Amino acid sequence: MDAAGTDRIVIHHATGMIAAELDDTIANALARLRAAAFASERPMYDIARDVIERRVRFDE
Amino acid sequence: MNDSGTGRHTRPGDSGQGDRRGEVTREAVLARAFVRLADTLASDFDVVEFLHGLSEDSVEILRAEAAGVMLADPRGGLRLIASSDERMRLLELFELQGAQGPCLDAFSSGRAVQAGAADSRARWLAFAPRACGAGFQVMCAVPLRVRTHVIGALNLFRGSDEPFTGTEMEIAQAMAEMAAIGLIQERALRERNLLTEPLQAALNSRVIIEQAKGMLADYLTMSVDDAFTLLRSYARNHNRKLSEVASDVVDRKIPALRWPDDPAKRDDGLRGRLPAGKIWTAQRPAGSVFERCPRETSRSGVREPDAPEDQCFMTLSSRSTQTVPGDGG
Repeated sequence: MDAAGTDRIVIHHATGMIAAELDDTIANALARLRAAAFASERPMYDIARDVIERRVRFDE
Repeated sequence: MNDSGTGRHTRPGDSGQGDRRGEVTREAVLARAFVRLADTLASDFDVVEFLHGLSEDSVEILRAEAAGVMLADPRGGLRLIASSDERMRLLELFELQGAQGPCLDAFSSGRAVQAGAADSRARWLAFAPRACGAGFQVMCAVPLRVRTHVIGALNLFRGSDEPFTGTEMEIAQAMAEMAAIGLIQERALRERNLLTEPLQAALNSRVIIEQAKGMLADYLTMSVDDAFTLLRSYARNHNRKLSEVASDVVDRKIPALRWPDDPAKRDDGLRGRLPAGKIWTAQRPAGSVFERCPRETSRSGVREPDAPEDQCFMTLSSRSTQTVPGDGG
């Protein structure tokens, strides 16, 4: 059963939001999300949730 | 919990009990829905929009509170494609994650499934309490089926404990089959390819739609749900496909100023820090923020900016299976 799709939607939303914040491409927004996950040693999904719930911003 | 809705009501030929007055309008609505479901050969056909239509029509016609549609991906796993509201979406995602629930049963058995609150607790240990917690008492699912091919499932949830009648289940099944036939015809005509191909296209365009929702939600400081409503009404008003509009949003071809600013939809509580009226520039500035650390990009295998969108999707999917807990595979 492929359940990964469940988390992906959240990540897509967050990617779009980061792209909007940074005025940058989707690819770069996704890279930023991954970099943030990598740097903070947290799952991408968690960071994505923070973005969607407006707890984290990438443009400051 | 009330036990009156605990049986399985999948037997055919139940006469439509209940309000006769409601029947007439329901027939008219049903007729319209069938026409829409048959209309997959139009040049501007959009599978995500189509399945959203199915979920909304089925909610209206079958007096359900929420509906969702899942399709099988090329590897045989189910993916959520459309849902009538956010609560349903979360619930269906939970269903997928827990790998149990009515949709999965309908998909794997190829038959209609229905359960009331008590019955569902016995069948889907993890899923049922979650559904009840979201306010749903009766849940049913019918396969999207063309003869023996099952390509997905339609989920219907009701907040009351009144089970779906046999007639309603028949209608749900007919709508689901109609949709499945439509999808397969559309694909046969367009691609003459294997059954799962356009579903992959649907999944890919779904990704772009989700990203566009996120972008709009940020630009306009609104919820992702409202952003989607806006996206759809824009596509309708401009007579364009949802996935095209989404990709224009992602590519910044539609400036933010073109979006109707509905103050009622704005949720300023979401983020007070955003300066009002952030303008969506048509071009992105030279020297993006991220270009300062290109090594990070290449090391993590992120695609180049001009690579096709689906590569980005693939990279993400292979990566997120490592990093996201509770994936189970």
